[in-house]
Amino acid sequence: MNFADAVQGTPKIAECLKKGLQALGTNSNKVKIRVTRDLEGSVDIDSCLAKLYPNAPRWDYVFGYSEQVYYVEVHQGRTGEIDNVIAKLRWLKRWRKRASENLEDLEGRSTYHWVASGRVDSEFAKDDKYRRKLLKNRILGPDSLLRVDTVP
Amino acid sequence: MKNLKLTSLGQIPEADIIFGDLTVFVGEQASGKSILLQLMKLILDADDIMQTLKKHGFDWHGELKNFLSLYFGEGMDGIWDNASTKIRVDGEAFELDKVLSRKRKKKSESLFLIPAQRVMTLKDGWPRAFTDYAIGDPYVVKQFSEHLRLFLETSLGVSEDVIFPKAHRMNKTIRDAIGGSIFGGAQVKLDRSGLRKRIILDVEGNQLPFMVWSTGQREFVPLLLGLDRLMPSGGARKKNNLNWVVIEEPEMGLYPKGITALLTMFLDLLKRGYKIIISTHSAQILNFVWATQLLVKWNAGPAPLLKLLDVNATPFSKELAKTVLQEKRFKTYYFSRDDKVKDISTLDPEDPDDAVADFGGLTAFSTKVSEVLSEVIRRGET
Repeated sequence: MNFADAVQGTPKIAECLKKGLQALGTNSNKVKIRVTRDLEGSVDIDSCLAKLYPNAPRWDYVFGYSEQVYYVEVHQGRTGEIDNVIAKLRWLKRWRKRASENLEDLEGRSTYHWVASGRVDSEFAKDDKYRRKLLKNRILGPDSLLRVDTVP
Repeated sequence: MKNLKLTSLGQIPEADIIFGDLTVFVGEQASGKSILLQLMKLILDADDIMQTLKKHGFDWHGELKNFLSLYFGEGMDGIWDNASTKIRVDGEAFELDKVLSRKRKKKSESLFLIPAQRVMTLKDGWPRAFTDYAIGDPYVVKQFSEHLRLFLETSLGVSEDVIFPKAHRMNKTIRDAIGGSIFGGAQVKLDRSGLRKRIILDVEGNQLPFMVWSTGQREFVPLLLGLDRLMPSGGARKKNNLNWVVIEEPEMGLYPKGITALLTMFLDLLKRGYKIIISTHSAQILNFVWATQLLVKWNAGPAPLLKLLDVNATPFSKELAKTVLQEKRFKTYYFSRDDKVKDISTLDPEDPDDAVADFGGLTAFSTKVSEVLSEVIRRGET
């Protein structure tokens, strides 16, 4: 199953599927793609689910590209925000488990990215517990730009 | 020995240690790590220790305090109080006074301890003999030094001069990692040309005596000799009855690349079947332990572990990494003065206890750097 099919099979977000990176709006300039024809669509999870879960720490976006799924949170790139980003990821995973078996099935092809809304603050030391918190939760970043073709 | 429980030994009020294949002790100075490591040797090798002391003319005259001074070192006789010091090994009481008075059996060592004072074992480039030390020097230093001396006396053939690297000892992957990162391609050799044998470094034909080696090389050569002894030639995996390897502060004097090479060597020791215990102040070693535990949890293959260690993928290295990821488990304990020893094995960065999240304090400073700079940025002071 590809990304678009997985989204269309998920009733709560099926109508929010947009072409290319359109769902990211102006934040699409924070994602660098080499082959745009390989984009499989995108969803603004935050807006799409705002009415259903108004007080939840909602994750921002997801898009499909070249058979991979990229979950993107655009957020201040500060150490003090790490716990908030992790809380959003945990909410995303709980919601997805309940609402979308299709996207769950694509977990093996999914990565999670924190893209800084401004500059990434220099306080992200290399070996401190903050960096390790992100890695433990498999969150990549924060980066000022998500270069999709260089994601490992 | 799977479990060691104790109360009231030196600075340690309480400890309950479950050993992994690799067990790491971290903690501030004088928090009891070294005492506990020496205690392990005493528990496992008591008969050999008593025989060795007697053989070299030492006598504690049946007095526990005298024995403690001979074994742990001068001034250490107060660490043990027969009334309050309680030790249990796998549920069985270990009573030192009974051990000292029992009939001794011939038993070879099962634990090899490489002490923090190892740089003192080489005098003018040759290991000092057991009896060359002061009476009050710790037993483990004397014994390590004696092992090195005997190893050098007996392990090299008459016309053999090269101590490291040698083709038939250690796998090439390990030799290359150590040789490149610590010796810069130099050879460790035996120099027989003078009136007395000595170890030298041969750098492109220039023979460098002990006193001109770098600090790291002086620290590392005794460690290398000790580890070399554990990797016998001729296809044997392990050395005789040795099952445990204890290394105090293996990182001493080494640049991070050298520590990485040493970690590769540890993996080889684990694969050979040794259980390793190290005490360390190196955040790099703890980072390695934490990352390896995550790789195990994520069912990652050998490639990321080899990448972490800067090791090329060869049949040997892949098997090494695979064995460690699939079969070997790590434990980490934190020692703090006058508090009980804490199990911090998860090293979980999200743990509310900073002893766990900050590797027993080893990364506390970089965490603080992040917090302070973050605060400055939030206040708009930049």
